[in-house]
Amino acid sequence: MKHNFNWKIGGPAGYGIKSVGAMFSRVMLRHGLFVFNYDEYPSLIRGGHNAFDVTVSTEPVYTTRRPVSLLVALDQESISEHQHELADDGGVIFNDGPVKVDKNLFPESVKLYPVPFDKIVEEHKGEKVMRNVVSLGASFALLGVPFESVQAIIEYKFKKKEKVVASNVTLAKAGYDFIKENFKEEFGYQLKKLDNPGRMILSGNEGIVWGAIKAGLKFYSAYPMTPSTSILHNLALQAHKYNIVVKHTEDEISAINTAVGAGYAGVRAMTASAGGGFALMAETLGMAAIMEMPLVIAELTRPGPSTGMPTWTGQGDLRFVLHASQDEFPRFVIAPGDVEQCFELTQTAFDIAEKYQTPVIILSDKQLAESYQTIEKFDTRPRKLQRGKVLTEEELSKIDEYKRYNTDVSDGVSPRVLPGTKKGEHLVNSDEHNELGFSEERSDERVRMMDKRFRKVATALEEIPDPELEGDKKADITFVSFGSTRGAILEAMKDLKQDGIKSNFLQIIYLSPFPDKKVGEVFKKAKKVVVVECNKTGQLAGLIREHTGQVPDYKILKYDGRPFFPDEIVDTIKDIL
Amino acid sequence: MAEQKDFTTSYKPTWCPGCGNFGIMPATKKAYAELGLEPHQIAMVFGIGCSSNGSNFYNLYAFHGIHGRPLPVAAGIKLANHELTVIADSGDGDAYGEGVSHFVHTTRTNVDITYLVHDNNLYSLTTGQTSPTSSTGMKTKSAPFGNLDMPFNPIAAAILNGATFVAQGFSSDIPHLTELIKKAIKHRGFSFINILQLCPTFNKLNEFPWYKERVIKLDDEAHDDSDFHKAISQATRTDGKIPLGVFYQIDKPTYGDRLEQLKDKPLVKQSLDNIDISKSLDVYK
Ligand SMILES: Cc1ncc(C[n+]2csc(CCOP(=O)(O)OP(=O)(O)O)c2C)c(N)n1
Repeated sequence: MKHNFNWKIGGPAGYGIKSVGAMFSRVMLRHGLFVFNYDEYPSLIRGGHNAFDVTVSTEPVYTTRRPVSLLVALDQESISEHQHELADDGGVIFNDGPVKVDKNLFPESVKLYPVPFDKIVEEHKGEKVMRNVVSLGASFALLGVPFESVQAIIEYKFKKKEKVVASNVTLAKAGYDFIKENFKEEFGYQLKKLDNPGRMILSGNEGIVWGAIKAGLKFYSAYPMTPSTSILHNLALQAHKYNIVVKHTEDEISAINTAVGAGYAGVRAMTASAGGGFALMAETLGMAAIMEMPLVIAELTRPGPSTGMPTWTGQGDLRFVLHASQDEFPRFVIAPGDVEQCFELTQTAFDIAEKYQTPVIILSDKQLAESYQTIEKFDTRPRKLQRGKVLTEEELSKIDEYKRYNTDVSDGVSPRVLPGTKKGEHLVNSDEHNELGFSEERSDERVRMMDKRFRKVATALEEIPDPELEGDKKADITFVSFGSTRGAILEAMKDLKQDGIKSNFLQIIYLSPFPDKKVGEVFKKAKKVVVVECNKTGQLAGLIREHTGQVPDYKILKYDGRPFFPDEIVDTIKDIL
Repeated sequence: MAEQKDFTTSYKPTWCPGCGNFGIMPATKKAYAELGLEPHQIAMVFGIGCSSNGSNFYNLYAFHGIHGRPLPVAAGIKLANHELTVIADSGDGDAYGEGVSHFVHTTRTNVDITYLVHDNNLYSLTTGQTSPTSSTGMKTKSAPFGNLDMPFNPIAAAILNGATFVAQGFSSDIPHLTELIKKAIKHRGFSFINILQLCPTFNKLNEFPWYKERVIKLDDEAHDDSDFHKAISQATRTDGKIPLGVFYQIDKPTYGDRLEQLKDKPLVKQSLDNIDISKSLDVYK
């Protein structure tokens, strides 16, 4: 009997695949289990194939695992697309009638469960989309989940809409009973109920949203682009409760400029987009840097170039965010690797942006942005905000002449004055400027101002935490990566351990300024270093080489738009050892 | 009380002798002073161009951003701190070329800012190329055989897209322009003035005598500036006359008026202490 399982449902877009997936996960959460959800969908509203994976585990789980234990196929494509993902002892629930299943395609040990979804829906006068709750009932019957849990989740989902609740419960029950009546043999994967101490299921983007709100976000301007859009949606919903102005601007150029304006006026402001929108923001990124403005930008990567694969994942924008905009300037690039890090590091990003008066980029990707996972709890205790150097009227009255870009600052940061403050009038300037902010092109002034700005890098390197090795102290394999690949690496490490292979992991969170000392040390000490990233050329490996001169023993790269699955990493490691 | 000279910095203006900006800048500063504004109460956001180099010459909270983008910056400042008087200032290339999307869409928001556009029918800082308001046939460095395009009509565009105050001034009529700027700043909502500007260095077509023959004052025609259709017909005159004055003005709630978030106090004055998100997180449980 196994208690960890992977459930997957597939069907045409527009058939409630995602919503039933979310219901499935919440039931698991309520039974004290850990889940990781993965949503595969094309860039379409109707038509095309959707699939939703729920990985269920009795211990924390960091990414989608394969093989699939129980597959629900609402359409034929779900069989052809996903049959190879199935475990040898897995099961397939399929829409008997419209979906034809050839037994010979599967090993004998695979259990087939034909369920006439269409007929059941018709008999109970339901709507076609309700096949999804029939499948929920059928799945839970097989997995040993009590029906009350199904009923509870339907009531929760449809709240007070009595009629909707009643018809959905009827259909779920019909699916549940159909399995109980027709398939008496117990399925090899069964729910194991554990305590639920109040855990949550959230996506990476929701982590960013709540981190930003907690950090005192007051202004958000953005233009929709997958996979950044859910940040806009979620913040828009919270705008009244938390007094945040959320503006859907005419384009990304406007979004970033509006955010800069709000930040200049003294509030915590943010914008976000995918690579395409970030490309449009590039000129203003440099403006914020030379004008020394606080700004937080989230870049949610999807595969490119150009429109690329809008609803899929990748890590191909690392070099882009590191270098976007003209010439050179200090910038922070921070890459969270899971939902909790999204929450924590977004708060840090606001502190850094104001403290260093420079753009901070939070680099995430579709896999992290839109995958939902169980997390223990957010730390919601009040946290001291670092608002950076801002002079008040009183402080201004004590100095002879206020210089916005005073270069006599060892940390590179000259105090700001917010517009509206008496005696602090000044010019902030995207032209190279002198200490007062006036346009200035003299060679010595230029060098002085460039050097001042770059002193922030040295200051930051002293201050930002070094990346830390996780896992076995003495390891055969040292993984090095950034961002969402963290999940697959942690899962792979669990499996390797079971096979007696010791490994550890260095997640580089701050990619700029780059922690070269620590990364160099880890490389020198490690037995075998494997860099894992979702792009074609190994951008992180290149960056490490640039900063440390070190070259990894092996790179595991993937650029098909899909995230890493742990077995892919495990198999490669076994090959190279 | 601040005087006109209090809005002036130590930086020496870099404009050509006879430049229309030497008319627009004093008119603007005079308007500030006559409205009783203090330098610290004003945030003035510039784009890039000869006109925007003026950012160096204004003593107030000046923001010299990038080409075409002063409007979104100004909107962000106003929404973050609506106690400030916020002015955006562009050239015609900045406003109607590079930044035309912001011009169109900011008018629709009715955010309470004032937009001053120095319209010299040319890109001057880049030494005289065709701008969106150059007339058809005008010869410039980028169109040595004559401009092929129709000129953009900023006044009509602003009225059509929902601006609540639309006016036109002239760099050579400082008293008239001063009054217009005062009205525009006093207006609640998006106010816009297209300011016809001489560029003696590069624009040899639209010089002072050329304008003198054509400009008329809307005040002299008893124009009803609350009438949308009359405003549009003034903005699309075909008799070759160029009207100066207020084309259109109406009262409408501003963007900020419609934001519940700003009712109590400006965003920038709202406390960030003890933001408690714990209850909101229950939906994820
Ligand atoms: C993105 C970008 N493109 C082009 C330029 C070059 N540029 C500087 S000013 C300008 C046009 C200026 O014309 P206008 O806005 O009418 O102002 P004027 O100089 O006439 O006052 C151009 C094209 C730039 N600075 N940035």
